[in-house]
Amino acid sequence: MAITYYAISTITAGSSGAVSIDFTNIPQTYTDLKLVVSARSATGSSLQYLTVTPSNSGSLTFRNLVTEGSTTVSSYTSAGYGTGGQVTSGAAPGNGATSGIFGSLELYFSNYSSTTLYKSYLVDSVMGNALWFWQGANLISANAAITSLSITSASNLAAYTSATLYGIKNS
Amino acid sequence: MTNAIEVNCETGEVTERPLTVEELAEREVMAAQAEAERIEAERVAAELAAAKESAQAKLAALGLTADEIAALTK
Repeated sequence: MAITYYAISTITAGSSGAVSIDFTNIPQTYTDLKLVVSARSATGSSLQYLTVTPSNSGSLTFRNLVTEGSTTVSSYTSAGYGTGGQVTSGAAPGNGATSGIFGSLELYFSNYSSTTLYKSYLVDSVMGNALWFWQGANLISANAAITSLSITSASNLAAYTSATLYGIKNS
Repeated sequence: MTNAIEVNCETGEVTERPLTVEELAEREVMAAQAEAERIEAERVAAELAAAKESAQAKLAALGLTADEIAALTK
């Protein structure tokens, strides 16, 4: 089987945590990108939203379709949009959650290096300590290539939060 | 102080740096936005749960059994 996933880089926050984890100068030589994050927030309640900001977001419009579930609500769906540079992309356990539990977040960016197409990406996020999930489809209405990604939380990212960026080739 | 961790994917160089004034301001906006989203999501969830509970109570008052109500809401 052809190797199509290439681990471009992995960052793990040290014992002090991190304000953000940023991937810059992303090579433009792959077909797609996949970002895999294991995260926890350093402060806040049991749930803290995560934000992934692509380089070309600027003041552009995002469109989100989000489905969430929890232990207290069987399911509900919400739709929204953002007009700023950031868009919520999932959630992680906050400082109030069970110690040592991390949430998982995966984002898949198609045709990220194109300079002629809008950029769409898929989001899957699940909490490590609750039946809470988030699935999103985001559209960045811009042709510019994605050259960097920044991961932040409403509060600081906790110690040992880690992120790996994969480049994916079509063969 | 907690820093931003940045990796240059071309060179592999990892740097840790404090946020700039602009980034700090941006972060405050983002935090407020995220908190507002969280509060709104919780409000919507609570409303939905209350509506569901109310609907189930009304169905029960009409004579439906718990199994019948569960079948309707699946």
